[in-house]
Amino acid sequence: MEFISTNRDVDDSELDVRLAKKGNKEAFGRLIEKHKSSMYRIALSLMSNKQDIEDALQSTIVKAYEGIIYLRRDEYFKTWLIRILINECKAILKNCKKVVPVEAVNCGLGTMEDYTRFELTSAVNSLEKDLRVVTTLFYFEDLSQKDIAKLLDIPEGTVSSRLSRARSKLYEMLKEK
Amino acid sequence: MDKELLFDEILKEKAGNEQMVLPEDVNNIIKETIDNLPEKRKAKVEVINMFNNMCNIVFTEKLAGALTVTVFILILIGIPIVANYYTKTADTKHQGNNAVVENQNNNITINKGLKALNSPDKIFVYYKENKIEIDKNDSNFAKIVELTKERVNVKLDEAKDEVDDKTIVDMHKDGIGIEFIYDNEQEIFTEGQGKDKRLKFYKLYFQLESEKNANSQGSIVNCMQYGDKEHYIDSSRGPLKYSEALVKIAQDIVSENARQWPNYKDEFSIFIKKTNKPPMSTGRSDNVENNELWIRYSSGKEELLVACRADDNIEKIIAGIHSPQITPDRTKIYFLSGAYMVSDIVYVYDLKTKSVRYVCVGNYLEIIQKGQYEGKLIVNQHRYRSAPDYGSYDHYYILDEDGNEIKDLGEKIQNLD
Repeated sequence: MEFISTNRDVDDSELDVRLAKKGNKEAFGRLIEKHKSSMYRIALSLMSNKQDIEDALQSTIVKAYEGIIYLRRDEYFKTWLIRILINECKAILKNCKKVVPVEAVNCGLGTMEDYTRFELTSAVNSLEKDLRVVTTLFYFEDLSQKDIAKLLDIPEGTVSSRLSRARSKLYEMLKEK
Repeated sequence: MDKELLFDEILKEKAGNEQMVLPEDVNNIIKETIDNLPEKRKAKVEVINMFNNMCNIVFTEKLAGALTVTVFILILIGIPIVANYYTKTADTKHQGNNAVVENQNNNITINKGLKALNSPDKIFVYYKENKIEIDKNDSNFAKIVELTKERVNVKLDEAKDEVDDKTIVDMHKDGIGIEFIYDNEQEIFTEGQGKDKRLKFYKLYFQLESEKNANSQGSIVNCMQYGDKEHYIDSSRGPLKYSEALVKIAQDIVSENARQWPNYKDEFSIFIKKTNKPPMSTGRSDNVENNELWIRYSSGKEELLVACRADDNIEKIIAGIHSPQITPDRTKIYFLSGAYMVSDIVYVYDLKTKSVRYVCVGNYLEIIQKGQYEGKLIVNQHRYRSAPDYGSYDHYYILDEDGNEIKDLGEKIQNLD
């Protein structure tokens, strides 16, 4: 049985993006379901307070649902979603700083699950905050340095140097294992 | 530099293996948030989608900036001719986008520029004279509509072929097809033969696979049939675009429903698929193939049955699957897997329970297809003599389904009548 294909394959995600843009809540739910682990991991790389992470995830979902009709390129859904999430995380962290000093309110106190069985996840979590998010986006989300620079609104050179620092530290941490 | 790249590759592979499981409460919050999202107003969504699509066309044609501003100023000051011209030109050049205007007049929906079929009131999937209605709430309903819209070419034309209901019934016998049924008459504009044409219909039939035509280009799989309220009347002159995703959805629907059909025959074949997974270690070798046992149904759907697995207990290892065979009642599949230095293991996969079970050790496997021992196994086993003779020997045996010996055939299989 041989087919002659005249259009590119449409994967389920892109189809769901199109349906979600037309107001299909189920399709939107499937998209979030697919990307929820990535969202959680990224939020975790930016914040360590459980309540903050949950708030960021919630408002990202609501904002993405409201704004998906404005998304121009369906194939960029994931990057677009991450961008919303990063902005939400930044906004929450900013508010946290405004109210009282970070140290006083324990905004950074972690209540996270035990990920020690994940070698790389544990190693990345032990990096400094500015290295953590870049490393997460690069290694776990497989984003290019250019995309990371755009997402975090920092120069590409900064992404490159942070990755380089992170790489050295990760090498030291993981070489013995 | 190379070292860095290598290290990155290693870490990315490691990252891929560290799938994060979300804490239960975070999962619940995500689920609740999605459940509580409000339903969207359809009109607003359509208007904004149309706006986006128009923007896409403009950007694709590299006329960003100036054209966008011009077009929207013209629309705003109310010059519909310019707007219509813009829509038509853009749609012709860029068929991948929906430049669609819909009007409701006396229950007739008019789609200008085609590309946008309305969502039907009913969808049926046909296969070998069987018919499955897709529930409107089923997620496949929306997917089928969306993928079908993508197939429709703006240059579609009517064919004036001799199409009637018998043609469609013949198609039902010939492979998988999808039918759209509308309560109200639909009308679509096409650009066939360089002229604007209208196709009016209440129903559409799309043959997705044709055994007779071997799915060849230009055959019925590339066009749609349309009909009035009662009968099918004509065929479109294609080409409709082929959609692998749509065919796969239809195949899955057929596979899920096929077992309930009275004329259903369990037509399937089994095959072994190679993978890129690293080789497995067994008692025989550290380089045993890490392959998979698959089933292919007559609808075309393929499904993984057994994947190799490592285990500390050698009798639980599955590696280097080979010699798979189906029982005469077609309910089980026996196969051999690498295990010991001197012997493989016979496993059985039950198609009803979808489970795999150890049967016995063995180096040769054959299922007796008919006669006194129908369904029983012929297995060659490496056995050891006890004192005082000692030593080993290899004999063929007839074994029952659980590996219990029924008859010793000796050193040659020809001993079986």
